[in-house]
Amino acid sequence: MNTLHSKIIIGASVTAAAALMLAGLVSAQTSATAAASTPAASAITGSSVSAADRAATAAANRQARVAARMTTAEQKGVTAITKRVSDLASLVTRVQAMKNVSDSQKASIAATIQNLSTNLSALQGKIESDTSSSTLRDDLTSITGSYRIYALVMPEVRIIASADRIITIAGMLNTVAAKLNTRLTAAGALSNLSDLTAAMTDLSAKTADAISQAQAAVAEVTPLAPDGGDKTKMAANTAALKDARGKLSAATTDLKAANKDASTVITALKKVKPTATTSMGSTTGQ
Amino acid sequence: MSKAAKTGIAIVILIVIIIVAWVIYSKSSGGSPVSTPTPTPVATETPQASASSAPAAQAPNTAGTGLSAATDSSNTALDQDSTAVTNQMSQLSTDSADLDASLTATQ
Repeated sequence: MNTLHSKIIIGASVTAAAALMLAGLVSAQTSATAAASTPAASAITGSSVSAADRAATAAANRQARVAARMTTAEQKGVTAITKRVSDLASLVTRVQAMKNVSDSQKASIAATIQNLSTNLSALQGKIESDTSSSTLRDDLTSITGSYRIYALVMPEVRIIASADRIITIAGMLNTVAAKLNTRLTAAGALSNLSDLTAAMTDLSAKTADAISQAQAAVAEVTPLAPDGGDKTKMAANTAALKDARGKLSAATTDLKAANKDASTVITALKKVKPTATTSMGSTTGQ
Repeated sequence: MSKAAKTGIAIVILIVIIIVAWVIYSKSSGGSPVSTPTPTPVATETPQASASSAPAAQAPNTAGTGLSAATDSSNTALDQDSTAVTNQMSQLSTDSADLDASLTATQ
């Protein structure tokens, strides 16, 4: 398309220039010849050629302006698609790192994303070969209108990925909590036992709520589909995504509080002399 | 009324009947194939990433997160666990930043 447009522009410019040069030569030659004969005829011929020149120049300029506008629009479209394809690739990487979905589920999500990327690449090829400004305009509109990469796909998958990590962290904290309960039981009567017990209760509640919020966020975005230009649906999608984001924020706050509880108990237990029940096992590198 | 006028009226009525019959027939057979404009192809509605894969609530997978052995409750193990949780929290912050960035984009 770039090449094509360049050719059009260059071709138009060359044609216009050649027409002007030719017209100028003819005009000069005609004028010179006519001037030698009849001055009145010279004036009439010169005026006629000049009008043709102006028309040719105007047409060439119009064509060049249209071609330039199409080239600019096409470049913007290609840039937009390239960015989306790149972002989708990073999204696939993130999906592959998810821990709480099966390999087949990850493959399914990744395939869906890859399909979007393939379709966008095909659209890019079409845009690059568009010769009609109206077709180009429709294709450019479909970059955003039909795919909703940024309005839906990216945030939706990001929400799912974040929820996955939240659930992973909650699981980690639950594992830590089990260890802390073992240590607390072994420690026996502690002066601050009630505080530590309260911290453990809070830890458990916070991780449970984090998991609940994360699952709710995923459930909220799962049914969303591209709006296809339906503004009401688009507004509903946006509202759902933001609400799900709020749930993840609440889950993150829960995890921070749970982690703080765990740190409080760990700090307290480190001051207690280890007993025989405390395993000194090795790291498994889970 | 002359015979010619009656004949003319009969012809007009016959034409009207033929037209009405043709219209009814056209509608019942799916319309005229000639005048139907070809619909402009629209971009295929893109299937959104399926999120039917909701992370399971029970027994979250914590493999590869740096946690120590589940049976190890030593101080060293707890320190390692704290570090692992902190690392994951840090990555969650990255996730959140990416999510917020994607939410600020409009299309």
